[in-house]
Amino acid sequence: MTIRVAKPGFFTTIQDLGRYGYAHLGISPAGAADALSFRIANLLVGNEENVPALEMTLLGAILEFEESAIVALTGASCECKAGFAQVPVNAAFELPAGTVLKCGSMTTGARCYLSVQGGFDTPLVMGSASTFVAGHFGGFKGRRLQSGDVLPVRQHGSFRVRSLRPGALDSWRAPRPLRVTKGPQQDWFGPEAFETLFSSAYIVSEQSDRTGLRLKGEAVHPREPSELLTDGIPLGAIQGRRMVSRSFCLSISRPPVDIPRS
Amino acid sequence: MKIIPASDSSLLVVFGNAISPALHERVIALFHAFQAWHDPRIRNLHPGYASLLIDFDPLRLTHDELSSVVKQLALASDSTVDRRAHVVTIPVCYDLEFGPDLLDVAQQAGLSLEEVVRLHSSPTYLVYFLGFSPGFVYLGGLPEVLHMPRLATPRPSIVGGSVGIAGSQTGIYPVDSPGGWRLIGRTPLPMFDPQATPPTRLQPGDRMKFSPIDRATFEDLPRRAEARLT
Repeated sequence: MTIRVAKPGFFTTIQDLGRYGYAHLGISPAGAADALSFRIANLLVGNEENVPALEMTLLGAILEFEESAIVALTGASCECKAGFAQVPVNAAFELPAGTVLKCGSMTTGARCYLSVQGGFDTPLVMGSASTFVAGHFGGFKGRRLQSGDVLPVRQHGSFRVRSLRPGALDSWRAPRPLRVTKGPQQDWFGPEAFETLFSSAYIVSEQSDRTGLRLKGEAVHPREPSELLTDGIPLGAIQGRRMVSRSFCLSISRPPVDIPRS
Repeated sequence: MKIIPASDSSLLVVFGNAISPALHERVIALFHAFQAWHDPRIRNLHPGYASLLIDFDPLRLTHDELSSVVKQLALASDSTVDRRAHVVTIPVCYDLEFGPDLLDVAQQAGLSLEEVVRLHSSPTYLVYFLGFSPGFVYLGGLPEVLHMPRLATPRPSIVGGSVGIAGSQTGIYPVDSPGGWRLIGRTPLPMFDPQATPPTRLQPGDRMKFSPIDRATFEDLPRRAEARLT
């Protein structure tokens, strides 16, 4: 079975949970930016949690289903329609053959996941189907999706589908402070710097992507400027910056959360 | 050796705060020891100039458990690295078309083009680590006269295989990407092939040399070389 991309949306890629074990060769994990929503999408349609699915950013894709398929949408709130009918979120549902699924703009959050029962059938590169756009490999032809792409889907025997209890993700999605741990260069910053960091609100700027989020807000300055020898940077690291725009960087973190498998 | 938690799922092992082959040898020894230990709870290893970042699965391993493994492996892995193990030769065509900044570099260094090429291709460089993009090497050993600031305005796109200089660094852009290094030549050999095992031509801890080739050899080499990196 195949799904045709009529319009790709703003930035749509095939991802799984990432490519590990190659960082020493300059190969970052890639993978779903919101791993929790990604795993939920797969579990809802009866897939294993690491099966390749679509990650859509800010504006969703328009997809043509030549055959019937069971799909699920999770992550950012996004107005999606099958023909003229509104489709559910956080629940698996069946699309009849010939359906055009139209995913619109995201209203809350930036990334939405579409899983299909069986999963997208893209080759594994270094053990993962994740697209690494800057490296030009993985996923579908190593790039973001384009109009006219035809995505292969693996056949699947099981029809066990699930939906999340309404409100199950409310506490997860409610605005709340990000928890942080102090990093290896914490000594470079005085108490007032941490006071600033922990008492300010920050806004995610437009200059953000899958590599990092640039935040606008009160800058955090080190005690004195010093030269840092290059070290590996962990996922989720917050970088203080002396910048005119008074911003600092935070790369997105994947909290170690497990999904209850009821 | 200092062991510092770097995040909720990583430890940073710091051997010092300088760029030196001696410190780096300890980084590589521990890196190799972890590779040989081959534990699925370790997700990624990032060697740096004088540190090793270890990214692990926090649902299956704690900082304390990993910390004691680091101590054991660091003890056992002392001086097991053969420094002459691997010298890789990378052919480079220092043609003005491939090295649009070559004249500029020669002028700033007060050297002739031939001297720049000779100086750049004479040292045996140490591959400190890879990062920034797949297969991108951070090399030590660039002669001081060739040290040069990066371009004020980075180029929006650079062809994979381009060889450049920035600060005290020299390196090769493995894939097409933007970048601000001063370009002095190009290698015809792929530095990165996602289908190959291993996917990169150079590994952390390797020694490497640049070998000057002419334009005819540059055109001919890819046809003679195997598609794979081996």
